[in-house]
Amino acid sequence: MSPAHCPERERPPARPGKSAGARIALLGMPNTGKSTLFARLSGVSARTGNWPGMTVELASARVLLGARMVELVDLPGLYSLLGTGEDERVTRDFLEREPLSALLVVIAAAEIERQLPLLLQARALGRPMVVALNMADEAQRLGVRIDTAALAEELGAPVLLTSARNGTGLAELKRALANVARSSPPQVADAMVAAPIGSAAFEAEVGRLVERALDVPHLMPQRLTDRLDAWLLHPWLGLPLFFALMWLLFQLVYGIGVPLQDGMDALIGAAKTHWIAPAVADWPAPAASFVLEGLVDGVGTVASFLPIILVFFVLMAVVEDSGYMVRVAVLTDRFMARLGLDGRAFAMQLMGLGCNVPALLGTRVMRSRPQRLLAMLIIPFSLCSARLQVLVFITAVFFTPRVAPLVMMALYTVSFLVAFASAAVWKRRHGETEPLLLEFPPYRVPTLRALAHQAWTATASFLSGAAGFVLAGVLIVWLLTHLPFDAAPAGPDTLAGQLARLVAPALAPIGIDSTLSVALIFGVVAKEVVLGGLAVIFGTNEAGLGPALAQSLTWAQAASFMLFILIYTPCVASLAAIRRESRSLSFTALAAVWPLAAAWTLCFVFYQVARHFV
Amino acid sequence: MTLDSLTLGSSARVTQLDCEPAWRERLAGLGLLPGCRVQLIQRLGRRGPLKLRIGRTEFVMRSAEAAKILVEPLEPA
Repeated sequence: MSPAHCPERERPPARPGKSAGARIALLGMPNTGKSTLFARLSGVSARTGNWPGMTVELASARVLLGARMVELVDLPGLYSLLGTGEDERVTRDFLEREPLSALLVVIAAAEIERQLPLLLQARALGRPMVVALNMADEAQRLGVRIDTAALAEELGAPVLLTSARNGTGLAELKRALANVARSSPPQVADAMVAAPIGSAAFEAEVGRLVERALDVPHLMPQRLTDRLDAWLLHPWLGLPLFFALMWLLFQLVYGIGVPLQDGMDALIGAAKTHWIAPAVADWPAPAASFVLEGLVDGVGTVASFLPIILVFFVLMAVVEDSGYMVRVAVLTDRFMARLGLDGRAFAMQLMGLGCNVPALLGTRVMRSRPQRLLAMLIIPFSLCSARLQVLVFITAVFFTPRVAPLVMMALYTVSFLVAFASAAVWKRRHGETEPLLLEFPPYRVPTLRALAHQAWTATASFLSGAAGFVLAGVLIVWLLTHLPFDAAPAGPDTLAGQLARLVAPALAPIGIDSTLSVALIFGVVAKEVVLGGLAVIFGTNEAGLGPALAQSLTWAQAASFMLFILIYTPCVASLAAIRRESRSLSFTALAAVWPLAAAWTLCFVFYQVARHFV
Repeated sequence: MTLDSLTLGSSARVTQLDCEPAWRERLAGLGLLPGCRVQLIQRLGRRGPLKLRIGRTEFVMRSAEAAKILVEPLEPA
């Protein structure tokens, strides 16, 4: 699943025919383990997801195969090359126009019977092929036996059994790829994609291939999946079980994450007192303050939440890889249909709990543009991990440990309610229903290796992406609160003080005072900045920030501040994703302004009522 | 009869798909073509979505769409 924050992935532009290097494209249906295979072959961290069509960007990597560098391109997972969706169009264009040495067709071995038509459709383009029958372990478990030699003979292409998850068959696959890259220079397609996947010719051909090479048990054993689905999709029990599972997930996040966070905290604190503070003791005051209050306090406060975020990401990845997300989409479909969406939008919202950006990209599986826009409008309301750390922190300051989980629960509830209400408001303009068709992969238990991979991917992408934003945001806040140097830090005469005066008329009615407003403004860059910014503004570290906040804010102000952070303008990375995906500036503006207006209105009502009770 | 009116656990052969090309293509991607054998595994509430199986593929569609797919029930094997 997705990284701790929202770096935009590089999309290498499809280069014109001049490039002479060997290039092999991976083609396959969703849920074939294609992206995992790509990651295994390329050794880079490509993200994988169980959600159909999760691989939405063309990831590519240069890999040494045999004696030469070969460029591998991971095409979106799709069922047919003739479909009308964006993925299909992109893939079709790519396959018809780009020079390729060969296609690596990835097939879920257990599903070979219904995946062969896609292979036949691609074969009509006239390129050399290598066929990987992936997830061979699952096929074996289901008792599906495939005569690869016979299949290779029929198809005129090497056919290999692989399991990207366990790493079996990869050496043989690499050899086959090296062979084909050596013997066939890159060429453009001979033909255009023509035959639809359900054509009689394909059906007959598949029948013949299956007859020759496949030994499939006639009767399915009653799989555990069906028994699990009977409970998890039960008309009455399904939703309660879903809530129970989510509750369990959050208990686990805190159970594992909080001790880790305390450890991290102690570590950073110790480093500051014993190591960094003595080192900068002789420096000029502004420089020492910059290091201690800007770098260590600001960034350290954000870093102390890293463990909890990572635990969260790994657990969300488990849920996503398990195949349960698709079930949740079905459970919530009827409700979401009333809002002009379908169950997939709810599943995306859940994915957005980690980071909104991958969830926004995930909306590409929606074929109807109005529906996709509506989904993109509500996904940023998902309480992502960046906002989570701010809210967890403030909740811990203002509420007792017994009440805090309930407050967090309430915040999650509010975030979903605001999302649903927004969908209801905008559905006339953006909503549209399309038929729902969700493939149900069997449930999967993630391997330890996959978990480690997810944890690493999340860390790496946080460090490479969000860390930069956070550092920049926190340092800007430090500068604003310390310039000019002769003014009292964070006082009314600093740049920050002037900025706060500027926005005070808008923020005072919702109980957000000048000290907090600067943090909020830079929170739009990345929500993690809010906490780091607060630490800088109050001139303290994570441990000192709590008491400082408790002293300067009333309960109603703190709650209003949390509500505002929960709902207001999405971060820069989310807005950039929305702009890219919607290709509409006016829609992006709506996605930026609507949450701001909603946040202000809600906070205004809340604060004006609540302040009379405290 | 139509796909949504199958009894739980029973199988049928698809005879006709009354739908637009894009939707037909998506169904075909899952192997749902005229002549194929489909089994109703689970019904998620009255008039709720249906969990279906073709070969080893399982998928879910809403009853409303299933009502547009004509099938011929098969005797239990």
